[in-house]
This record gives sequence, C-alpha cells and structure tokens, in this order.
Amino acid sequence: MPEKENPSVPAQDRRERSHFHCNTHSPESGHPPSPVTRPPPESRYEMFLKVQLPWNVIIPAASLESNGLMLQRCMILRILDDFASKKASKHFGYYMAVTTLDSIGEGKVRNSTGDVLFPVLFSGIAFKIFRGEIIEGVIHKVLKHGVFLRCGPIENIYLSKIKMPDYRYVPGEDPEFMNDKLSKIKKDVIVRAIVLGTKWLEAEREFQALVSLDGDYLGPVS
Amino acid sequence: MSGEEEENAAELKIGDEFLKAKCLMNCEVALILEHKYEQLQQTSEDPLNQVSQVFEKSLQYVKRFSRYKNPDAVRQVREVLSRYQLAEFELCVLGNLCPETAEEAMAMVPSITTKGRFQDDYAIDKMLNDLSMIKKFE
Repeated sequence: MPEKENPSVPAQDRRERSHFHCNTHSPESGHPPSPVTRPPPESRYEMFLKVQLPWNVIIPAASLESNGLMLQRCMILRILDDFASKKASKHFGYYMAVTTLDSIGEGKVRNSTGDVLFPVLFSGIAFKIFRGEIIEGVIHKVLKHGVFLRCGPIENIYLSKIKMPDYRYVPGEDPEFMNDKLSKIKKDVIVRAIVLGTKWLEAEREFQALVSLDGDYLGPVS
Repeated sequence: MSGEEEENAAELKIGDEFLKAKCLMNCEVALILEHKYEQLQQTSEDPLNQVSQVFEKSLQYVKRFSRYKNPDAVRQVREVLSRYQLAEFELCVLGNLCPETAEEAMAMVPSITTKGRFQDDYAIDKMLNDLSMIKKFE
C-alpha cells in the first residue's frame, strides 16, 4: 500500500508547545546548553540504532506532587513530548521513540520559576543513514531530472538522472523512468540504491541524501 | 565536515564507535514501534498527539520493509546472523535486504569478505540459505 500522510497527526504544532527548549538558554543552570551535547561513548548509531541520551527535563512546580508515581509519569510524558518535538540531531539522526527511562538524577529547583530540573538518562531508537550504505526507499516524486525517495523519516533522498544512466525519462500524466529492459522507476516503486552523500540541514532539522543506482544489484525491487 | 568525509559504509569505515553500535534491523524496529504505538493507545487519551511525524513515517517505512513479521522469526534471524562474526552494521544490512545469492550479498555488504570470516562463496550461501529457511517457516 502506498504511504499516505496522515493529516490528523498534528506533529508540527507540537514543536512550539514544548517548554523544554527555554531551559537551554537558562543562565543559572549548570547543565549542558543542549540536551545532547555529550553523548555517552556507548551510544552509537546506524540506520536504526539504539541510543542512550542524557536529557534535562523541567517539571513545572504545578505538577509537583508528593506522589512519586505521578512525578515519574509527568516526566515520561514530558520526555516523549520533547523527544518528538526535537525531531533530529546531526549526531544521532532522527529521534524515533523512547524505550526506557534509565535513571533520574537529583532535581534542582530553579530560582526564577520554582520549576524543578531533573537530569535524566533514557534509551531510545534513532535513525541515520551513511555514505556507502545501501538503502531501500519508496519513490514519491518523479521529476524530469530525477526522482525523490522516502526512506524511514527522511523524505528528501534524491536520485538524479545522471546516476541512473540507462534509464530514460518518459513524460506523461504519470511520468516515469524506463530502461531498455522495460524496468520502470515511477511513483510508489521501491528502489534499492547506494548513498553517495548526506547533508544535515540545521534550520529544518532534517537530513538530505543523494543516492545512485551505479552498482551491482541496485535498481527497482519488485 | 572534514571527519565525515572519511566515512564510507561500503568499506566499513564508519569509526570504531559506530562499529560497536547496537544496530537494529527494520523488522526489530517494526516490532518495537508497533508495541509502542499500542501502548500509547492504551495509556493516553490522545495517542495521536504523542506520536511525532518522524515516528509515524518510520513506522510506515519499517512495516513495508520488514522481511520478517513474526516475532519469533525476527529473533531467529538475529540469532542465525550473529553466528557469523558480523559487525552490527553488516548484520542489519543483511537482515534488511535479504540478498539471495553470495554475489548479491557481497555487492550489498562489500566488507563481508574481509577478515577471513567466510572461506568462500559457499559459506556465504549457507548463511543466506539459513535466512531463507526462517522466512519459509515463518
């Protein structure tokens, strides 16, 4: 089945809602300026990889209750929210899911607001692609000069016409690329390709990649 | 970018740190994310609100690209592949792409022939055969 954007997922608007990012500018906190400045050595990445991240969670004074369970719940909800809104980082790639909350450090009360900041360590799954890696993606846009693929959370993976020399552009209502053996590259087709290079866009918090079909066993997959 | 210029997965040049990384195959990620999604549906009044776009897209992707659906099969795949002294990264690429022949496997993971881990193509074929058996009996 072709992938469809689910319009009911309000993913972007959650980015602004998070109060988390305010704390990164906070002058009085002795914590790292960004939640992921110091990745522990054991946490690494791959296409999909398990990572362990240090993170600072701020719990507003209003949610502080004597009941420890409630505090933990509040913390988890906040991490889930922050994790989703942060979207990605250059080092780890895309943040996908939180799996476990590993440890909670000692909370520090922040003078100005009365909020409490907890340094926590949690595990999650991240996604990143590498140069030289072979990926499989779904084509979602066909242009005259090449096609765009989607692979996991990455939307902008470009396969240029130059990198599939035996394929010719066939214009029409549903444009496609075709080679002499009638193998077709068009919308919703799965293509196996090698990654030529990746680029991190800081402003959009996204990765882009260039791929090629130049190699053995690369091309459309049935 | 200077450090990253050197990186090349084809030659398994991705830094020591990365080689020891705990990598996950698409099918494993699919299991985790699906479980996660179900969990959210149960605990949260508004599950969609807890799911990011990244999560949503990735779930769709891994569902489509998982060669193995059954949790037991997924476990077996890792078990079989981990008998062959593969780096985490190599293991996952093989598990994700499921090449059919030794030649294809070497094209997908060129580093597989290094370090004398496989004596000949036949040894690679045997591993691939083990994988296809899991699929067959899934």
